[in-house]
Amino acid sequence: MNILTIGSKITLRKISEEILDKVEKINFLDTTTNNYLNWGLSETKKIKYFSGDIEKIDTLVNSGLNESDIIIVHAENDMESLFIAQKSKINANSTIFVILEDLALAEIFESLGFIIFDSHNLKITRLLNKLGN
Amino acid sequence: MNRNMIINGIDNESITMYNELLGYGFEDIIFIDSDINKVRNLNDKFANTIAFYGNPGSTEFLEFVGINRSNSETIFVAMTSSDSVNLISCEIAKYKYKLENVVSVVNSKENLPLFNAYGITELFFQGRSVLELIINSSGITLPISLLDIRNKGTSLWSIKIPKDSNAIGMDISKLNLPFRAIVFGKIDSKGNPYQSTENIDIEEGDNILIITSNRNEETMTRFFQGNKNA
Repeated sequence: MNILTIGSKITLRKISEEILDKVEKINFLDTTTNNYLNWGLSETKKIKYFSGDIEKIDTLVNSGLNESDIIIVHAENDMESLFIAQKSKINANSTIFVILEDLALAEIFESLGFIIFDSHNLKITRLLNKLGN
Repeated sequence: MNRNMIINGIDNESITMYNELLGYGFEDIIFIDSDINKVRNLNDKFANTIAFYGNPGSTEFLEFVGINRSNSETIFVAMTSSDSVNLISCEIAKYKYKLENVVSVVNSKENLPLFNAYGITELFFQGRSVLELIINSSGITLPISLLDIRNKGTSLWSIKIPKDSNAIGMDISKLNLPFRAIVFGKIDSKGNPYQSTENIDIEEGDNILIITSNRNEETMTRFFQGNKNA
């Protein structure tokens, strides 16, 4: 499966390390690739890094949005994460996971088709199930 | 029932807007913003506190400022310079608090379909009029929204036929648009109106009047665009 992660918070790093051997490709997108310098994941055929205005559709598409089976978003704040998740829905075949700081918004956005993770209590069982464990 | 208004976003126009809204009979108006300096500056201009500092994505804060006040119909207006803040705060207002009156500014044209897709249809696009003037003068014709059909995400559109349009020579009564629409008719370059039931050809410089969903704006533009601009 092809994965696109948007943001560079520690949650995404942990998830990426956990799923790396279960996926074909991971594209990492953030406002600058400098945010990944301390991640220790070198760019390979499997791992690619992208940067740009993450709220712009061109940036998302150039980072592989349309080829991604799974999109995982944890941006600077919940509003930005949810906004990007909704923009990413132009790829109707993908499953979109959003990591939120405040779960008060979870109910609304789960009803709109997104899978919500709690940044303070990260349990990624649903993601692992999607990847076939 | 009483009405209260929450305006998310403070800018240079806020004082003017506040005074104009008072003139229209709205009395219970407050501003919210995540920039404490904007909140302080606005409050300094008034004897009462009319602006509050907080996160417009926090339900706790929105409830504190009265989004779910009982015995009052809340009108929520998002007018920050960030489309992500505007969209998400409007979605919270609409989906969590079931508000019927939700209005938003859209700063980037590429986000207009996104707001419409998620049911935020009372929209004001910041750069639209200027953009339309510039684009239309460059030979590409954009549809102009003449009238929003309230709460429907639908508008009455006028689109001017450019000289290379593929639609020139088509019979307006037999116009086969690739989206659901009502074609009212046309106004020719001399200002004469014609109904769509008349068997009359579309000509360069005509304005076609159409009612259709806002999400069809781009398809409509492509349909009536000239070959050179296709």
